[in-house]
Amino acid sequence: MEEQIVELAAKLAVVESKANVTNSMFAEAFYYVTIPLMILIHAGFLAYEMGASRTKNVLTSGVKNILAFAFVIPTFYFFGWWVYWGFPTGLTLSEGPAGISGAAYANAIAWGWGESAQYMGPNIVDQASGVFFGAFALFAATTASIMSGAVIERIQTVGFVILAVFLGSFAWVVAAAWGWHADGWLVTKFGVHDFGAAGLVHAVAGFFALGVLIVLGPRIGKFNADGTANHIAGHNMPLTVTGLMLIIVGFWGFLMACVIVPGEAWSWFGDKPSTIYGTPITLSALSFNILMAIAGGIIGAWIWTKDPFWMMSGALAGIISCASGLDIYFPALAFIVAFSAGLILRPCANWLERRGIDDAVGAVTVHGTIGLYGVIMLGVFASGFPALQGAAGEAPTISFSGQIVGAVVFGLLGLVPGYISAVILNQLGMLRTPEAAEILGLDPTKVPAQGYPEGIPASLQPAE
Amino acid sequence: MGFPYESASWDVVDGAMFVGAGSFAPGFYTFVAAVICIVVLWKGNQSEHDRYAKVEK
Repeated sequence: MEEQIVELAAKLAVVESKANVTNSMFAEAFYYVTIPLMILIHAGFLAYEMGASRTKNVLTSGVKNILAFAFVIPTFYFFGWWVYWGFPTGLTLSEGPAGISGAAYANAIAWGWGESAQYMGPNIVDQASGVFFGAFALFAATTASIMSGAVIERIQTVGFVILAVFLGSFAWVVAAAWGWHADGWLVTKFGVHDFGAAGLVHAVAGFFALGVLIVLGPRIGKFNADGTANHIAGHNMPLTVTGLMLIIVGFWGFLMACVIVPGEAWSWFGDKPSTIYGTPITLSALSFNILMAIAGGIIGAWIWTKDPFWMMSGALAGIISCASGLDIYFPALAFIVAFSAGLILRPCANWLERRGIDDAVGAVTVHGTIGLYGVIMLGVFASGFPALQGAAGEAPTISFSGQIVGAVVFGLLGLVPGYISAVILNQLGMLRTPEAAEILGLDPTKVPAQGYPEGIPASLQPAE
Repeated sequence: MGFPYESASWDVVDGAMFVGAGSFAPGFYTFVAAVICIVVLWKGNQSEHDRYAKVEK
Protein backbone atom coordinates (compact mmCIF):
# COMPACT_ATOMS: atom_id res chain seq x y z
CA MET A 1 0.00 0.00 0.00
CA GLU A 2 2.71 2.45 1.00
CA GLU A 3 4.64 1.64 -2.15
CA GLN A 4 1.54 2.32 -4.23
CA ILE A 5 1.06 5.69 -2.53
CA VAL A 6 4.68 6.61 -3.19
CA GLU A 7 4.32 5.51 -6.81
CA LEU A 8 1.07 7.50 -7.16
CA ALA A 9 2.68 10.58 -5.61
CA ALA A 10 5.58 10.27 -8.03
CA LYS A 11 3.18 9.99 -10.96
CA LEU A 12 1.21 12.98 -9.67
CA ALA A 13 4.42 14.98 -9.44
CA VAL A 14 5.20 14.12 -13.07
CA VAL A 15 1.69 15.12 -14.18
CA GLU A 16 1.92 18.35 -12.19
CA SER A 17 5.30 19.13 -13.68
CA LYS A 18 4.01 18.48 -17.19
CA ALA A 19 0.94 20.64 -16.53
CA ASN A 20 3.21 23.44 -15.32
CA VAL A 21 5.36 23.15 -18.44
CA THR A 22 2.26 23.26 -20.63
CA ASN A 23 0.90 26.28 -18.79
CA SER A 24 4.23 28.10 -18.97
CA MET A 25 4.58 27.36 -22.65
CA PHE A 26 1.01 28.52 -23.23
CA ALA A 27 1.64 31.74 -21.31
CA GLU A 28 4.87 32.40 -23.15
CA ALA A 29 3.31 31.61 -26.54
CA PHE A 30 0.28 33.77 -25.74
CA TYR A 31 2.38 36.93 -25.47
CA TYR A 32 4.80 35.86 -28.17
CA VAL A 33 1.92 35.69 -30.66
CA THR A 34 0.82 39.20 -29.75
CA ILE A 35 4.15 40.58 -30.96
CA PRO A 36 3.85 39.72 -34.70
CA LEU A 37 0.18 40.68 -34.51
CA MET A 38 1.19 44.09 -33.17
CA ILE A 39 3.83 44.41 -35.86
CA LEU A 40 0.86 44.33 -38.22
CA ILE A 41 -0.17 47.62 -36.62
CA HIS A 42 3.09 49.03 -37.93
CA ALA A 43 2.61 47.49 -41.34
CA GLY A 44 -0.77 49.20 -41.29
CA PHE A 45 0.54 52.57 -40.19
CA LEU A 46 3.26 52.33 -42.83
CA ALA A 47 0.75 51.73 -45.61
CA TYR A 48 -1.67 54.26 -44.17
CA GLU A 49 0.91 57.00 -43.94
CA MET A 50 2.51 56.36 -47.29
CA GLY A 51 -0.90 56.29 -48.98
CA ALA A 52 -1.79 59.58 -47.30
CA SER A 53 1.38 61.23 -48.63
CA ARG A 54 1.75 62.80 -52.03
CA THR A 55 4.02 60.91 -54.44
CA LYS A 56 6.83 63.40 -53.87
CA ASN A 57 6.93 62.45 -50.17
CA VAL A 58 5.82 58.83 -50.12
CA LEU A 59 9.17 57.18 -49.36
CA THR A 60 10.16 59.80 -46.80
CA SER A 61 6.98 59.02 -44.89
CA GLY A 62 7.91 55.34 -45.04
CA VAL A 63 11.50 55.93 -43.88
CA LYS A 64 10.26 58.03 -40.98
CA ASN A 65 7.78 55.39 -39.86
CA ILE A 66 10.27 52.53 -40.13
CA LEU A 67 12.88 54.47 -38.16
CA ALA A 68 10.38 55.23 -35.40
CA PHE A 69 9.96 51.49 -34.90
CA ALA A 70 13.69 50.86 -35.09
CA PHE A 71 14.62 53.47 -32.49
CA VAL A 72 11.76 53.04 -30.06
CA ILE A 73 12.43 49.32 -29.56
CA PRO A 74 16.06 49.66 -28.32
CA THR A 75 15.37 52.82 -26.30
CA PHE A 76 12.45 51.08 -24.65
CA TYR A 77 14.93 48.32 -23.82
CA PHE A 78 17.54 50.81 -22.56
CA PHE A 79 15.24 52.77 -20.21
CA GLY A 80 11.51 52.57 -21.11
CA TRP A 81 10.98 49.25 -19.34
CA TRP A 82 12.63 50.70 -16.24
CA VAL A 83 10.31 53.73 -16.33
CA TYR A 84 7.26 51.44 -16.37
CA TRP A 85 8.34 49.61 -13.22
CA GLY A 86 9.89 52.60 -11.48
CA PHE A 87 7.20 55.29 -11.81
CA PRO A 88 3.82 53.81 -10.74
CA THR A 89 3.58 55.61 -7.40
CA GLY A 90 4.50 58.93 -8.96
CA LEU A 91 7.70 60.91 -9.01
CA THR A 92 8.82 59.55 -5.63
CA LEU A 93 9.81 56.23 -7.25
CA SER A 94 8.70 54.48 -4.05
CA GLU A 95 7.23 51.00 -3.75
CA GLY A 96 3.45 50.65 -4.12
CA PRO A 97 0.97 48.45 -2.21
CA ALA A 98 1.35 45.44 -4.54
CA GLY A 99 5.12 45.54 -4.08
CA ILE A 100 5.96 45.45 -7.78
CA SER A 101 7.07 49.00 -8.39
CA GLY A 102 9.54 51.67 -7.38
CA ALA A 103 13.15 52.40 -8.20
CA ALA A 104 14.51 49.46 -6.21
CA TYR A 105 12.19 46.98 -7.94
CA ALA A 106 12.90 48.45 -11.37
CA ASN A 107 16.64 48.41 -10.67
CA ALA A 108 16.36 44.71 -9.88
CA ILE A 109 14.60 43.66 -13.08
CA ALA A 110 14.73 46.25 -15.83
CA TRP A 111 18.30 47.35 -16.53
CA GLY A 112 20.38 45.66 -19.19
CA TRP A 113 23.43 45.47 -16.94
CA GLY A 114 24.50 44.17 -13.52
CA GLU A 115 22.33 41.70 -11.61
CA SER A 116 19.12 42.75 -13.34
CA ALA A 117 20.57 41.83 -16.76
CA GLN A 118 19.53 38.22 -16.05
CA TYR A 119 15.91 39.32 -16.63
CA MET A 120 16.76 41.27 -19.76
CA GLY A 121 18.09 38.40 -21.84
CA PRO A 122 17.69 34.67 -22.45
CA ASN A 123 17.19 32.84 -19.14
CA ILE A 124 16.00 29.24 -18.84
CA VAL A 125 14.07 29.93 -15.62
CA ASP A 126 12.41 33.12 -16.82
CA GLN A 127 9.91 32.52 -19.59
CA ALA A 128 7.98 35.72 -18.98
CA SER A 129 10.20 38.81 -19.01
CA GLY A 130 11.09 38.70 -22.68
CA VAL A 131 7.57 38.27 -23.97
CA PHE A 132 6.19 40.90 -21.58
CA PHE A 133 8.94 43.26 -22.63
CA GLY A 134 8.18 42.49 -26.29
CA ALA A 135 4.49 43.24 -25.91
CA PHE A 136 5.19 46.50 -24.09
CA ALA A 137 7.85 47.51 -26.59
CA LEU A 138 5.26 47.11 -29.33
CA PHE A 139 2.80 49.28 -27.39
CA ALA A 140 5.60 51.84 -27.24
CA ALA A 141 6.26 51.65 -30.97
CA THR A 142 2.53 51.99 -31.61
CA THR A 143 2.46 55.36 -29.85
CA ALA A 144 5.24 56.59 -32.11
CA SER A 145 3.41 55.38 -35.19
CA ILE A 146 0.25 57.20 -34.11
CA MET A 147 2.15 60.48 -33.97
CA SER A 148 4.00 59.69 -37.18
CA GLY A 149 1.02 60.03 -39.52
CA ALA A 150 -0.04 63.42 -38.20
CA VAL A 151 3.22 65.15 -39.04
CA ILE A 152 3.98 63.82 -42.53
CA GLU A 153 5.37 65.84 -45.43
CA ARG A 154 7.15 68.58 -43.46
CA ILE A 155 8.99 67.16 -40.45
CA GLN A 156 12.71 66.41 -40.39
CA THR A 157 13.57 62.73 -40.05
CA VAL A 158 16.01 62.87 -37.11
CA GLY A 159 13.90 65.44 -35.27
CA PHE A 160 10.94 63.12 -35.68
CA VAL A 161 12.89 60.11 -34.40
CA ILE A 162 13.83 62.06 -31.26
CA LEU A 163 10.17 62.90 -30.70
CA ALA A 164 9.22 59.25 -31.29
CA VAL A 165 11.73 58.09 -28.68
CA PHE A 166 10.55 60.69 -26.17
CA LEU A 167 6.93 59.62 -26.69
CA GLY A 168 7.43 55.88 -27.06
CA SER A 169 10.08 55.27 -24.43
CA PHE A 170 9.11 57.88 -21.86
CA ALA A 171 5.86 59.91 -22.06
CA TRP A 172 3.41 57.07 -22.65
CA VAL A 173 5.37 54.79 -20.31
CA VAL A 174 4.81 57.22 -17.45
CA ALA A 175 1.09 57.18 -18.30
CA ALA A 176 1.13 53.38 -18.31
CA ALA A 177 2.95 53.28 -14.96
CA TRP A 178 0.41 55.64 -13.42
CA GLY A 179 -2.78 54.25 -14.92
CA TRP A 180 -2.04 50.73 -16.15
CA HIS A 181 -0.26 49.11 -13.27
CA ALA A 182 -1.67 47.63 -10.05
CA ASP A 183 0.48 50.12 -8.08
CA GLY A 184 -0.33 53.06 -10.37
CA TRP A 185 -1.50 56.04 -8.33
CA LEU A 186 -4.30 56.83 -10.77
CA VAL A 187 -5.64 53.33 -10.09
CA THR A 188 -5.07 53.08 -6.36
CA LYS A 189 -6.21 56.65 -5.58
CA PHE A 190 -8.87 57.33 -8.23
CA GLY A 191 -9.96 53.91 -9.47
CA VAL A 192 -9.01 54.77 -13.06
CA HIS A 193 -9.78 51.88 -15.38
CA ASP A 194 -8.38 51.82 -18.89
CA PHE A 195 -8.13 48.15 -19.80
CA GLY A 196 -7.35 48.57 -23.51
CA ALA A 197 -5.29 51.75 -23.17
CA ALA A 198 -7.68 54.23 -24.78
CA GLY A 199 -6.18 56.98 -22.67
CA LEU A 200 -2.69 55.88 -21.82
CA VAL A 201 -1.69 54.82 -25.32
CA HIS A 202 -4.07 56.47 -27.76
CA ALA A 203 -4.86 59.74 -26.02
CA VAL A 204 -1.27 60.26 -24.89
CA ALA A 205 0.01 59.68 -28.43
CA GLY A 206 -2.76 61.76 -30.01
CA PHE A 207 -2.19 64.73 -27.73
CA PHE A 208 1.57 64.41 -28.02
CA ALA A 209 1.01 64.73 -31.78
CA LEU A 210 -1.14 67.82 -31.15
CA GLY A 211 1.63 69.40 -29.09
CA VAL A 212 4.08 68.78 -31.93
CA LEU A 213 1.66 70.04 -34.60
CA ILE A 214 1.13 73.33 -32.79
CA VAL A 215 4.85 74.06 -33.11
CA LEU A 216 5.43 72.34 -36.45
CA GLY A 217 2.73 74.23 -38.31
CA PRO A 218 0.72 73.22 -41.39
CA ARG A 219 2.03 71.98 -44.73
CA ILE A 220 2.56 74.65 -47.35
CA GLY A 221 -0.73 75.15 -49.16
CA LYS A 222 -2.91 73.65 -46.46
CA PHE A 223 -4.48 76.93 -45.41
CA ASN A 224 -5.49 79.97 -47.42
CA ALA A 225 -4.81 83.54 -46.35
CA ASP A 226 -8.34 83.83 -44.92
CA GLY A 227 -7.74 80.75 -42.75
CA THR A 228 -9.88 78.35 -44.76
CA ALA A 229 -8.41 74.90 -45.29
CA ASN A 230 -7.59 73.06 -48.50
CA HIS A 231 -7.78 69.29 -48.72
CA ILE A 232 -4.36 67.84 -49.55
CA ALA A 233 -5.18 64.42 -50.93
CA GLY A 234 -2.77 61.54 -50.44
CA HIS A 235 -1.62 59.73 -53.56
CA ASN A 236 -3.19 56.34 -52.81
CA MET A 237 -6.44 56.07 -50.89
CA PRO A 238 -6.73 52.26 -51.36
CA LEU A 239 -3.29 51.84 -49.73
CA THR A 240 -4.36 54.04 -46.84
CA VAL A 241 -7.62 52.16 -46.32
CA THR A 242 -5.86 48.79 -46.51
CA GLY A 243 -3.35 50.07 -43.96
CA LEU A 244 -6.19 51.01 -41.65
CA MET A 245 -7.59 47.50 -41.97
CA LEU A 246 -4.17 46.07 -41.08
CA ILE A 247 -4.12 48.25 -37.98
CA ILE A 248 -7.47 46.74 -37.02
CA VAL A 249 -5.99 43.24 -37.41
CA GLY A 250 -3.05 44.24 -35.23
CA PHE A 251 -5.38 45.60 -32.58
CA TRP A 252 -6.45 42.04 -31.78
CA GLY A 253 -2.89 41.36 -30.74
CA PHE A 254 -2.64 44.68 -28.92
CA LEU A 255 -5.74 43.96 -26.86
CA MET A 256 -4.80 40.31 -26.36
CA ALA A 257 -1.55 41.52 -24.85
CA CYS A 258 -3.56 43.53 -22.30
CA VAL A 259 -4.70 40.23 -20.71
CA ILE A 260 -2.75 38.51 -17.92
CA VAL A 261 -2.97 34.75 -18.36
CA PRO A 262 -3.63 32.52 -15.31
CA GLY A 263 -1.63 29.88 -13.53
CA GLU A 264 1.87 31.36 -13.49
CA ALA A 265 3.81 32.70 -10.53
CA TRP A 266 3.26 36.24 -11.83
CA SER A 267 -0.44 35.74 -12.69
CA TRP A 268 -3.13 37.43 -10.63
CA PHE A 269 -5.23 34.23 -10.60
CA GLY A 270 -4.55 30.54 -10.82
CA ASP A 271 -7.78 29.74 -12.58
CA LYS A 272 -8.85 32.69 -14.71
CA PRO A 273 -7.34 35.41 -16.89
CA SER A 274 -7.29 38.96 -15.61
CA THR A 275 -6.70 42.51 -16.70
CA ILE A 276 -3.48 44.27 -15.84
CA TYR A 277 -5.34 45.55 -12.74
CA GLY A 278 -5.98 42.02 -11.49
CA THR A 279 -9.69 42.14 -12.31
CA PRO A 280 -11.15 39.16 -14.18
CA ILE A 281 -11.62 39.16 -17.93
CA THR A 282 -12.34 36.63 -20.65
CA LEU A 283 -11.19 36.52 -24.25
CA SER A 284 -14.88 36.12 -25.07
CA ALA A 285 -15.46 39.60 -23.68
CA LEU A 286 -12.86 40.94 -26.09
CA SER A 287 -14.29 39.02 -28.99
CA PHE A 288 -17.85 40.24 -28.40
CA ASN A 289 -16.94 43.83 -27.76
CA ILE A 290 -14.16 44.46 -30.27
CA LEU A 291 -16.28 43.15 -33.13
CA MET A 292 -19.29 45.21 -32.10
CA ALA A 293 -17.12 48.28 -31.61
CA ILE A 294 -15.58 47.99 -35.08
CA ALA A 295 -19.03 47.70 -36.60
CA GLY A 296 -20.47 50.60 -34.60
CA GLY A 297 -17.57 52.88 -35.48
CA ILE A 298 -17.79 52.15 -39.20
CA ILE A 299 -21.55 52.71 -39.29
CA GLY A 300 -21.32 55.95 -37.31
CA ALA A 301 -18.65 57.32 -39.64
CA TRP A 302 -20.43 56.17 -42.80
CA ILE A 303 -23.65 57.98 -42.05
CA TRP A 304 -21.85 61.35 -42.02
CA THR A 305 -19.02 60.92 -44.44
CA LYS A 306 -19.62 58.08 -46.97
CA ASP A 307 -15.83 58.17 -47.26
CA PRO A 308 -13.85 54.90 -46.90
CA PHE A 309 -10.98 56.72 -45.20
CA TRP A 310 -13.26 58.03 -42.47
CA MET A 311 -15.18 54.74 -42.30
CA MET A 312 -12.01 52.80 -41.53
CA SER A 313 -10.93 55.59 -39.18
CA GLY A 314 -14.36 55.04 -37.63
CA ALA A 315 -13.49 51.39 -37.11
CA LEU A 316 -10.37 52.45 -35.23
CA ALA A 317 -12.31 55.08 -33.32
CA GLY A 318 -14.93 52.47 -32.47
CA ILE A 319 -12.38 50.21 -30.84
CA ILE A 320 -10.59 53.08 -29.11
CA SER A 321 -13.83 54.52 -27.73
CA CYS A 322 -14.61 51.18 -26.05
CA ALA A 323 -11.06 50.15 -25.23
CA SER A 324 -11.17 51.28 -21.58
CA GLY A 325 -14.08 48.94 -20.86
CA LEU A 326 -13.77 46.09 -23.34
CA ASP A 327 -13.62 43.78 -20.33
CA ILE A 328 -16.97 44.86 -18.89
CA TYR A 329 -19.09 46.48 -21.62
CA PHE A 330 -22.16 44.68 -22.88
CA PRO A 331 -21.71 44.14 -26.65
CA ALA A 332 -24.72 46.20 -27.71
CA LEU A 333 -23.56 49.02 -25.44
CA ALA A 334 -20.09 48.81 -27.01
CA PHE A 335 -21.79 49.15 -30.39
CA ILE A 336 -23.68 52.26 -29.25
CA VAL A 337 -20.58 53.91 -27.74
CA ALA A 338 -18.57 53.11 -30.87
CA PHE A 339 -21.35 54.40 -33.11
CA SER A 340 -21.34 57.69 -31.24
CA ALA A 341 -17.55 57.87 -31.65
CA GLY A 342 -17.92 57.31 -35.39
CA LEU A 343 -20.51 60.07 -35.52
CA ILE A 344 -18.39 62.70 -33.79
CA LEU A 345 -15.17 61.79 -35.54
CA ARG A 346 -15.36 64.02 -38.60
CA PRO A 347 -16.87 67.04 -36.81
CA CYS A 348 -14.06 66.85 -34.24
CA ALA A 349 -11.42 66.68 -37.00
CA ASN A 350 -13.03 69.64 -38.77
CA TRP A 351 -13.10 71.61 -35.54
CA LEU A 352 -9.38 71.08 -35.11
CA GLU A 353 -8.69 72.02 -38.71
CA ARG A 354 -10.62 75.28 -38.32
CA ARG A 355 -8.15 76.15 -35.57
CA GLY A 356 -5.26 75.93 -37.99
CA ILE A 357 -4.02 72.45 -37.06
CA ASP A 358 -2.92 70.40 -40.07
CA ASP A 359 -3.26 66.81 -38.86
CA ALA A 360 -2.64 64.98 -42.12
CA VAL A 361 -4.36 61.73 -41.12
CA GLY A 362 -6.72 62.74 -38.34
CA ALA A 363 -4.55 61.07 -35.68
CA VAL A 364 -5.22 63.70 -33.02
CA THR A 365 -8.95 63.15 -33.37
CA VAL A 366 -9.03 59.39 -33.84
CA HIS A 367 -6.54 58.59 -31.09
CA GLY A 368 -6.47 61.70 -28.89
CA THR A 369 -10.02 63.00 -28.75
CA ILE A 370 -11.70 59.62 -29.07
CA GLY A 371 -9.24 58.10 -26.58
CA LEU A 372 -10.29 60.59 -23.93
CA TYR A 373 -13.93 60.18 -24.95
CA GLY A 374 -13.58 56.45 -24.33
CA VAL A 375 -12.00 56.91 -20.90
CA ILE A 376 -14.83 59.25 -19.87
CA MET A 377 -17.62 57.09 -21.34
CA LEU A 378 -16.51 54.24 -19.12
CA GLY A 379 -17.04 56.53 -16.13
CA VAL A 380 -20.58 57.20 -17.37
CA PHE A 381 -21.53 53.54 -17.79
CA ALA A 382 -19.38 51.54 -15.38
CA SER A 383 -19.31 53.60 -12.20
CA GLY A 384 -19.33 51.31 -9.20
CA PHE A 385 -17.28 48.50 -10.73
CA PRO A 386 -14.26 47.56 -8.56
CA ALA A 387 -11.09 48.92 -10.15
CA LEU A 388 -8.66 46.43 -8.63
CA GLN A 389 -8.89 42.99 -7.12
CA GLY A 390 -7.07 39.99 -5.76
CA ALA A 391 -3.37 40.24 -5.05
CA ALA A 392 -3.48 43.78 -6.34
CA GLY A 393 -5.50 44.78 -3.28
CA GLU A 394 -8.58 46.94 -2.91
CA ALA A 395 -8.98 50.34 -4.50
CA PRO A 396 -11.68 52.89 -5.20
CA THR A 397 -14.35 51.75 -7.60
CA ILE A 398 -14.58 53.12 -11.14
CA SER A 399 -16.25 56.52 -11.08
CA PHE A 400 -17.05 59.34 -13.47
CA SER A 401 -14.85 61.78 -11.57
CA GLY A 402 -11.99 59.27 -11.43
CA GLN A 403 -12.18 58.71 -15.18
CA ILE A 404 -12.18 62.49 -15.73
CA VAL A 405 -9.02 62.77 -13.63
CA GLY A 406 -7.48 59.98 -15.70
CA ALA A 407 -8.49 61.65 -18.96
CA VAL A 408 -6.99 65.00 -17.91
CA VAL A 409 -3.72 63.39 -16.79
CA PHE A 410 -3.41 61.32 -19.97
CA GLY A 411 -4.16 64.35 -22.16
CA LEU A 412 -1.54 66.45 -20.38
CA LEU A 413 1.03 63.63 -20.39
CA GLY A 414 0.80 63.77 -24.16
CA LEU A 415 0.30 67.45 -24.91
CA VAL A 416 2.90 69.01 -22.61
CA PRO A 417 5.90 66.77 -23.46
CA GLY A 418 4.97 66.92 -27.14
CA TYR A 419 4.83 70.70 -27.18
CA ILE A 420 7.98 71.23 -25.11
CA SER A 421 10.09 68.74 -27.04
CA ALA A 422 8.92 70.24 -30.35
CA VAL A 423 9.80 73.75 -29.15
CA ILE A 424 13.30 72.59 -28.21
CA LEU A 425 13.84 70.81 -31.52
CA ASN A 426 12.53 73.85 -33.35
CA GLN A 427 15.06 76.05 -31.53
CA LEU A 428 17.78 73.63 -32.60
CA GLY A 429 16.60 73.78 -36.23
CA MET A 430 15.71 70.08 -36.21
CA LEU A 431 11.93 70.18 -36.57
CA ARG A 432 10.66 71.63 -39.83
CA THR A 433 12.05 70.89 -43.27
CA PRO A 434 13.22 73.90 -45.32
CA GLU A 435 10.54 75.45 -47.51
CA ALA A 436 12.40 74.67 -50.74
CA ALA A 437 12.65 70.97 -49.86
CA GLU A 438 8.98 70.83 -48.93
CA ILE A 439 7.98 72.37 -52.25
CA LEU A 440 10.31 70.18 -54.31
CA GLY A 441 9.32 67.09 -52.34
CA LEU A 442 11.16 65.27 -49.57
CA ASP A 443 11.84 62.15 -51.66
CA PRO A 444 13.83 63.90 -54.39
CA THR A 445 15.57 65.89 -51.64
CA LYS A 446 16.86 63.06 -49.49
CA VAL A 447 15.76 59.54 -50.47
CA PRO A 448 18.02 57.69 -52.97
CA ALA A 449 15.09 55.68 -54.36
CA GLN A 450 11.87 56.30 -56.27
CA GLY A 451 8.44 55.28 -55.08
CA TYR A 452 7.08 54.83 -58.59
CA PRO A 453 9.97 54.76 -61.09
CA GLU A 454 7.62 53.85 -63.94
CA GLY A 455 4.82 56.08 -62.75
CA ILE A 456 1.52 54.25 -62.49
CA PRO A 457 1.04 53.15 -66.12
CA ALA A 458 -2.10 51.62 -67.56
CA SER A 459 -1.93 47.82 -67.80
CA LEU A 460 -0.78 46.22 -71.03
CA GLN A 461 -3.21 44.15 -73.05
CA PRO A 462 -3.84 40.73 -71.47
CA ALA A 463 -2.57 37.59 -73.23
CA GLU A 464 -5.09 35.95 -75.53
CA MET B 1 -25.17 51.90 -14.12
CA GLY B 2 -23.44 50.31 -11.16
CA PHE B 3 -21.82 47.00 -10.44
CA PRO B 4 -24.36 44.20 -10.93
CA TYR B 5 -23.59 42.55 -7.56
CA GLU B 6 -24.46 43.68 -4.05
CA SER B 7 -20.88 43.89 -2.85
CA ALA B 8 -18.38 45.90 -4.91
CA SER B 9 -15.88 43.05 -5.07
CA TRP B 10 -14.89 40.69 -7.84
CA ASP B 11 -14.83 37.85 -5.30
CA VAL B 12 -18.62 37.62 -5.40
CA VAL B 13 -18.86 37.49 -9.21
CA ASP B 14 -20.00 34.08 -10.33
CA GLY B 15 -21.54 34.78 -13.74
CA ALA B 16 -22.30 37.72 -15.99
CA MET B 17 -19.96 40.63 -15.22
CA PHE B 18 -20.92 43.30 -17.72
CA VAL B 19 -22.44 46.73 -17.37
CA GLY B 20 -26.18 46.37 -16.77
CA ALA B 21 -26.12 42.60 -16.11
CA GLY B 22 -29.28 41.34 -14.44
CA SER B 23 -31.32 44.42 -15.34
CA PHE B 24 -33.39 45.56 -18.31
CA ALA B 25 -30.30 47.34 -19.68
CA PRO B 26 -28.93 44.60 -22.00
CA GLY B 27 -32.30 44.32 -23.76
CA PHE B 28 -32.54 48.07 -24.01
CA TYR B 29 -29.02 48.38 -25.43
CA THR B 30 -29.72 45.60 -27.93
CA PHE B 31 -32.94 47.32 -29.02
CA VAL B 32 -31.19 50.69 -29.44
CA ALA B 33 -28.33 49.09 -31.41
CA ALA B 34 -30.81 47.37 -33.72
CA VAL B 35 -32.73 50.61 -34.23
CA ILE B 36 -29.49 52.40 -35.08
CA CYS B 37 -28.75 49.82 -37.79
CA ILE B 38 -32.21 50.20 -39.31
CA VAL B 39 -32.25 54.01 -39.18
CA VAL B 40 -28.75 54.25 -40.66
CA LEU B 41 -29.69 51.94 -43.52
CA TRP B 42 -32.85 53.94 -44.16
CA LYS B 43 -30.96 57.25 -44.16
CA GLY B 44 -28.16 55.75 -46.21
CA ASN B 45 -30.58 54.48 -48.81
CA GLN B 46 -32.21 57.90 -49.00
CA SER B 47 -28.89 59.58 -49.52
CA GLU B 48 -27.80 57.02 -52.13
CA HIS B 49 -30.98 57.52 -54.16
CA ASP B 50 -30.61 61.30 -53.94
CA ARG B 51 -27.22 60.85 -55.63
CA TYR B 52 -28.67 58.64 -58.34
CA ALA B 53 -31.41 61.19 -58.97
CA LYS B 54 -28.85 63.97 -59.29
CA VAL B 55 -26.91 62.02 -61.93
CA GLU B 56 -30.03 61.08 -63.87
CA LYS B 57 -31.19 64.71 -64.21
